[in-house]
Amino acid sequence: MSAAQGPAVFTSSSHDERTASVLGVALGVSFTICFVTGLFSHVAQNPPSWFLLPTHPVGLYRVTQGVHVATGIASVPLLLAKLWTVFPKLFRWPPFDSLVDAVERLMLVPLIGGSLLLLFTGIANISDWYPFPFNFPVTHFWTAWIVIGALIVHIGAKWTTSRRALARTRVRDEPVVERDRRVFLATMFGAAGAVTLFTIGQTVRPLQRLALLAPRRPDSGPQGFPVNRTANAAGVVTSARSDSFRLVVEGKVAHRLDLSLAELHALPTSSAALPIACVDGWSTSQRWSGVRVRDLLDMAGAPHDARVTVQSLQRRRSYRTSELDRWQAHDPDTLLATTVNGEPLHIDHGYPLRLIGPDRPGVMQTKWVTRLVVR
Amino acid sequence: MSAVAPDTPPRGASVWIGMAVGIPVFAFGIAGALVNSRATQPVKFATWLVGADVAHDAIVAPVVGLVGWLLVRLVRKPWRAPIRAGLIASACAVAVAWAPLHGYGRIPDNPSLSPLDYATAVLTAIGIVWAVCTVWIAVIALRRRSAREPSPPESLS
Repeated sequence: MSAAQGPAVFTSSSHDERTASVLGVALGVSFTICFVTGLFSHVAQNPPSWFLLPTHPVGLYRVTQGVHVATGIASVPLLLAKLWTVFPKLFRWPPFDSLVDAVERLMLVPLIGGSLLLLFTGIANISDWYPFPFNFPVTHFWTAWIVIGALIVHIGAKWTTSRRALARTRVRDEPVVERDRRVFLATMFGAAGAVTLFTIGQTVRPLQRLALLAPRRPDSGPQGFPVNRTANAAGVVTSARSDSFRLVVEGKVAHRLDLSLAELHALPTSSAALPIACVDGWSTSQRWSGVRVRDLLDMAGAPHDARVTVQSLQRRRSYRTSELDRWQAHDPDTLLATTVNGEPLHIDHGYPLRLIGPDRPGVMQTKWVTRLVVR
Repeated sequence: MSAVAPDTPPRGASVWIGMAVGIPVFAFGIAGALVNSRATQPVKFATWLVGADVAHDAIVAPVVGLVGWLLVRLVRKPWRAPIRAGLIASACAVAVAWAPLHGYGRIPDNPSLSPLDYATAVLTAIGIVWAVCTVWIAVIALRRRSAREPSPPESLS
C-alpha cells in the first residue's frame, strides 16, 4: 500500500495517492464545469462588445446556471474529501525539496483557500447571506480565475503521479485496502449525490419536494413562483401603483413614445412561456403576456439594429437597469409583460410592467419598467 | 499497516506546462482582484482566503480526525462504513443548508426566500440519509448471517 507522505498516524487508504487522484479528477471536472458556466453567466451580465446573448434555446441560461450552482454544491463533499485525503502532506518535513516543489506547494494556499472561499461565498449567496466584507459577484469572479490558475499549476505538478496512481492495476493493493478505498470513495460521491438530490429541486420541478436544503422552492412566492427583490425592498410600492405611471421610449428614435397604462393595454399583445432563471440557481417557467419590445421599437421608429437600456422605477441599488442587445431587443419573445399565467403581475413580480426575455439571467429581467432608452 | 511511501516530487514536462499556463491565469485573477479593489477589498479578501485555509486545517480537519478516531474505537469494523457514511452525509447536509437553517439572509417581506422550516427540513434530509444507511447496515447483517463466517480481523481504517 502506498500512502501520502506524512506522519505514520494516517494509515487509512483514504490518504493514498489513488484516492487523492480519483477525487482530484472529479474536482477537476466539477471546477471546470463551474468555471465555464460561471464565465457564461458573467458575459451574459457584463457583455463585451463582441458578445450577443443567444435567444435560443430559451432555457440555455436556466440550464447553465442550474448546473453551475448544482455542481458547486456537489463539490462540497468532494473538496472536503480531497482535503482530508491529502491532509497528512501538510505535515511533510522538510516542507519542500526543490524550488519547483516550493512553488507548487505555495500555490496550494490560493488553490485550497480560494476553492473553499468559492464554495462558501457561492452557497451563502444563494441564500442572500453576505457575511463577508467584499462584493459577491466581482470577488467570486476573480477568485475563480485565481483558483483555476492555481489548479492548472497543481494538475501539471501532479500529472505524472496521478496517472501512475490511476493506471496502477489492483494487483498491487491488498483486497482489503482496495475495498476500503472503494467504500470511502462511494461514501463521498454518495454524499455529493445526496446534497445534489436535496437541492436540485429548486430548478428541477419534479424534485422540488426533495429540495430540503435549498433556499428556494420554484412554486413558493406570489403567483406561485419566487421573488428576489420585493417592491418594498426596491422602494417602488407607491410609484408602481401611481396613476401617473408612464412608459417612455426615447433615445435614438424617430418619435418618442410616452404611454399611459391604458394606452399600453390597448396595444396588441403577445405571449410566451419563458423561464425566470436566477443567478442563485433556482428557476421556473411561466406563461407571460404583454407588448413585444420590438413592436414598441417599430412604433417609435427605432433602427433595426437598435440596442435598448431598460430602466426600472427603482431609484437606487444595483440591477435597476438592464441591456437588450440587438438580438434580445428584436426577438419576438422579448416582452414587456403585464400578466403572468393570465393574471395581472403581482407588484413583487414587477407590476405594472416587467421585462421578460428568452435566455436572460433573472437579474436582467428588469421589473417595474418605466423607460426604454434606444441606442 | 504499511510503511509510508516517499512522496514523489513534481516532475516531467507537465510541471512546466502547468506553470506556463497556470501562473498567467492565476496572475490575471490576482490583477483583476487588485484592479477592482473597491469591490474585492484585497486585504480583507486575502485575510478571508488564508483564513479559509487555516479554518480548514486547524478546525475542520482535526474535528473530522477526532470523530474518525472515536468511530474506530466505538464501532466495530463491519458497521463502521455505513455509520461513517451517515455522519459524513449529515454533516454535508448541515453545511449546505447552514444559512437557511440559521435564518441568515432572510428578509421579513420576502417569504419566498428560505420558505421552509429548515430545522424540520434538514432533519428530514438527515432522516432519509440514515434510512439508507440503515438499509446498508441490514444488508451487511444479512450477508454476515448467510455467510456464517466469523467477522474479519479488526484493522484500523
